[in-house]
Amino acid sequence: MVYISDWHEFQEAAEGLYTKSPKTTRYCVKWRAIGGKLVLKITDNTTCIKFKTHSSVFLNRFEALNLSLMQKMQNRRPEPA
Amino acid sequence: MQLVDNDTFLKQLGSLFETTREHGSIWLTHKRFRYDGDDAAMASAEDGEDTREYPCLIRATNGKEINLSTRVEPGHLDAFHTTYGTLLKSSMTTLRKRDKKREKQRAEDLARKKKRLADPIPIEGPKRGSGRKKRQRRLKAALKQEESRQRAAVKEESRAKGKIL
Repeated sequence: MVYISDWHEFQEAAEGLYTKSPKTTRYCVKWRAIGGKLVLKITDNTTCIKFKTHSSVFLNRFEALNLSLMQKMQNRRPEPA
Repeated sequence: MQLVDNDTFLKQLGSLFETTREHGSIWLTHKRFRYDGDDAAMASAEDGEDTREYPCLIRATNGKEINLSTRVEPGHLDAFHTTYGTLLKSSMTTLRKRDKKREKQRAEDLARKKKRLADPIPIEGPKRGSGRKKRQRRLKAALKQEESRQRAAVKEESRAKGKIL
């Protein structure tokens, strides 16, 4: 199934997927406040990877992943010298 | 679809989190904004150029009526992200804290199950006479254990295969 249980694996797969096809990849987040459920989905319309959690341990990592993915999206040239 | 600027987006997203506390969900989507004017064909042809910087499109919806979107310019990402990050972290409060007891309990149950599969069941006792039924039960249990061992092996194999893929 598309769900990955290990955060580290998910992170690597996400960044790899984005590097592979930056044009068609989108990163979606679903938040359900009632059950406290967070689901992350990364797809390039061919492969899809998801991660779900109920635990707050991942909040910081989730934010860091957000930042790294958005940076990839913008394709910033790292500051030249 | 309401296209707004970053600050308005963050404000409206905050209120969206508030209204969705009791029921409903929030979907956030992030993708690269590649709309190069009206010529879609030209956009796909420019493949070699990898040095462009793109704005980032972010959409938020509650699945029903509310639809917001915003574009984050390359220069503004850091400032946007700090506010965005804190907003997300402060709204996602209902996530459960790390439950050490539960995790420990789960690990223990798993270990117990594995042990049950691994320990061989000794088939002993009289074949005829008073202990016969007990011996027969042991025989059956040994067969069942063998079956579940095989099933577990098949599961493990398919999992390993799935992971390699």
